[in-house]
Amino acid sequence: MAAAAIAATVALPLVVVLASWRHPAGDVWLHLWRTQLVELVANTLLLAGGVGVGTLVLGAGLAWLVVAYEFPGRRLFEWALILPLAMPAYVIGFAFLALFDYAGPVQSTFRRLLGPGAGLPELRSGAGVVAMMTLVFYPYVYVLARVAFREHGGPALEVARSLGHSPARAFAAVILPLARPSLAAGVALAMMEALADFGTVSTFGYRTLTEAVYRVWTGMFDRVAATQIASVLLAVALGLLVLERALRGRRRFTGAERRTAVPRVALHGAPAAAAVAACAVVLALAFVLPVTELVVWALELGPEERASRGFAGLVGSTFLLAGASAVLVGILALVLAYARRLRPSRTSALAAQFSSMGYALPGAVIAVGVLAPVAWLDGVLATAAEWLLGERLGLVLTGSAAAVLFAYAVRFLAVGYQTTEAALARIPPSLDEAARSLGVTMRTALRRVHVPLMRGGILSALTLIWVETIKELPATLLLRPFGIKTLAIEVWERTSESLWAEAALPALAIVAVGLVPLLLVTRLEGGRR
Amino acid sequence: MTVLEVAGVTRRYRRNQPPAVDAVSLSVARGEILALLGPSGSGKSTLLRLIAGFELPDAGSVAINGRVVAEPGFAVPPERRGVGIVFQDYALFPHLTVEGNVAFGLHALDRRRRRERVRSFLELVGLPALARRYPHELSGGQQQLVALARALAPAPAVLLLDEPFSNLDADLRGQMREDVEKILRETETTVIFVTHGQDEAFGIADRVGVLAHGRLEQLDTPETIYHRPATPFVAEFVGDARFVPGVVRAGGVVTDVGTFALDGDAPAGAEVDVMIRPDDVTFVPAADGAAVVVHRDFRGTETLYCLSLPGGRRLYASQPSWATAVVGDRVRVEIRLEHVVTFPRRP
Repeated sequence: MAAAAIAATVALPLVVVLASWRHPAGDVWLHLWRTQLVELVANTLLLAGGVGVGTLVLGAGLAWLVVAYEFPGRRLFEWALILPLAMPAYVIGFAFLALFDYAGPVQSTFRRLLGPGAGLPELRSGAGVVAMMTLVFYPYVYVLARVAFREHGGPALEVARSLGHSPARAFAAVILPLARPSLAAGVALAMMEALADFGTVSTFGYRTLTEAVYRVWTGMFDRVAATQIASVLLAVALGLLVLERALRGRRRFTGAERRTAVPRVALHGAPAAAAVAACAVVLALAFVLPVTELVVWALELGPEERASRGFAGLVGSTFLLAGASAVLVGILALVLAYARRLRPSRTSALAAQFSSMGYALPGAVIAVGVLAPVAWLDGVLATAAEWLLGERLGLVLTGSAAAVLFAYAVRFLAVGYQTTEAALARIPPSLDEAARSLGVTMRTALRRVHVPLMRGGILSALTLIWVETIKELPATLLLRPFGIKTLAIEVWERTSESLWAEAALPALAIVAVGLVPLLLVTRLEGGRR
Repeated sequence: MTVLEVAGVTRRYRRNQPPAVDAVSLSVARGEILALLGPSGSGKSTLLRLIAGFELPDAGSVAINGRVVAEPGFAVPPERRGVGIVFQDYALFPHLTVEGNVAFGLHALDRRRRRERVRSFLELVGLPALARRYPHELSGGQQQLVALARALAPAPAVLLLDEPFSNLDADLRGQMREDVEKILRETETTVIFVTHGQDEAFGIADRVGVLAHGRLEQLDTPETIYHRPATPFVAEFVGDARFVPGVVRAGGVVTDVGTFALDGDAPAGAEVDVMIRPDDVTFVPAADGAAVVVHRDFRGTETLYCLSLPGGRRLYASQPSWATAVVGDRVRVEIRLEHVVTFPRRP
């Protein structure tokens, strides 16, 4: 029951967005259709496709490098190459813009040295956005591919070599296909992030569906049209989800029980230098360079100015909102996982799967889908208040924390559920039965047996949700409570005014927070799925 | 005094498959120890779970102390049945100490009473010194005793034990069996335990129920089960019985391997199978013997011989470990039956 209720609530925004087509297409929509929609869809697909290919090449390539070869600094790189995951795309985006834009220091130096004609290709372009996102999203593929290579790689490589394949051919013929489900999952995650991104595309002036939802919503105040654009975006996201399931394939790869490590080939000389260079360049571009720049800016700003910007208050309100999100989503995830354990029926399985879909939905779509039911509920409340109290009530929920928390619940329930469910699955069912045979109801058993045993899992779920909430931009931007500002919004507002230095400190704070779950990821190794 | 009454209980997992438990009826008296014996898949664990309340019957009813706790459309949840369970994997709570585990089911008592009761049950199982330990710091045998103390502490009407000794090393099993039986007898606990080992069932239980394909084939004292099996299945499962076809005549049952007095009343001319166990069969080496040794299985305390009779029939004979016959020897078979058990000839 509880599971079905949660699933229904979480699915509500989805239904709202799809149902937007009952309304006749508005003028704005027609205008969009004629002028921009083709461009928007093409741009969005190009972006997702580009990021998919980019992350696959970079992620799988680096993963194979650190799994199959030995070179100086390999152990350090193997760990450090996950770090870019802490960097939201909009942060690396504005750091690069400031550095490499026409007026930026790099291009200026070029011109000074090589004459006025010298320059780099324009960064504010599709290719530029794809490059930015590839740099920060490749770790999704990297993490999953590394695990897959390590787990299936050894035995498969040995068999392939014993059958006369060279290592390179064995990689192409055996290892890659074996790792396909993991690679597909990683690429899909990266592409979903690319679809969901709002900050980078808006700073780069690259027009996509996500960006259009926001623009139509806040610029033209046309909610129906915004919702309809969101539904197109939704179709792309769902298509991606279907594609991922298909790519994973029906084949179940029975993991070879004998775990043989991939024999590492030691590199020397030029190949070793090339391997080090590849890892170092990626790490430098995706993490070291932007972070260094943020630090330099933050220091330049001076302590008085930092204090006057109300940075502490910003951190406080962000952490509070994220904390509320973590607690709410954490509880929902626990209820869902526990309901599934108590009654492993088809309904609860479906509910779990349905609730997990939110992660594939871009925040802009969710925001648009959340607002309609919340506004409707506000209307009901207002009518009820007027009837009961004879008083006029303003909008209670719209623009309150409730709306944005609802959106977070939809978006991050999957994160919480998967972590919680994994922790719950490790508790043998006989413990449940033991508790009941000792006269304890299932509800009490949750408190006395399951929660104490899953403490670690629940804590990681809360941390992950907390961090994801802090990094989230589009839904927060569209639904934030009046007068509340978060770190992500501050970064976006400053960067959209090209006030790079003022965005540095909040951006650094987000990166620092983003580093927290990476410690968890390295410990759990399984990645986020 | 009947504590547990199971009446015609049936449980079917899938509609188009035979039921896991098929119309089983049994009752257990206060202080009695009943063993459910059967091969894996015979439904004995499902029957246990039906009594505990983790499964609900499709037909029939379960009553504890005269109160119906389960029948179709009605079920008292497991936590309100007063049934204690010792699980096969013990299912100790890993986040609680030994003390905490034993106290888990005593939430209705106040703190002082609870502590007293935990102490007295830890003393009962002989582990008061380990009260502060965590489960992973205990040996398998100690874990089992803690699980037993935990299940007994709330004074359950019935205690269920699921394959209680299967997780223990062979050398520990005998001692644990004695210890556990002593505790159960001392506390006069009403017990049902499930096992697939007949030694365990015969050694501890007052009565043994043999299950096959969800049906209760026989429920009797261990001696009766062994000497007077009610069905061919029971005969085969308990004590490796073989069958020799025979025909009832005036002087007894006439078979290839001899004529045996019949102590039942079967009509003359009836075709029957006579039960023969390895310990009923002996042989002597004889150059003109009709049987040939085809296999010799040295087991330490005894040697099991497989003999081939004329016509291809095979019989097993258990011999002392110093028996010297080898494969290929011709022997003369002698069969001595204390109890002649016959079944109508199977088609």
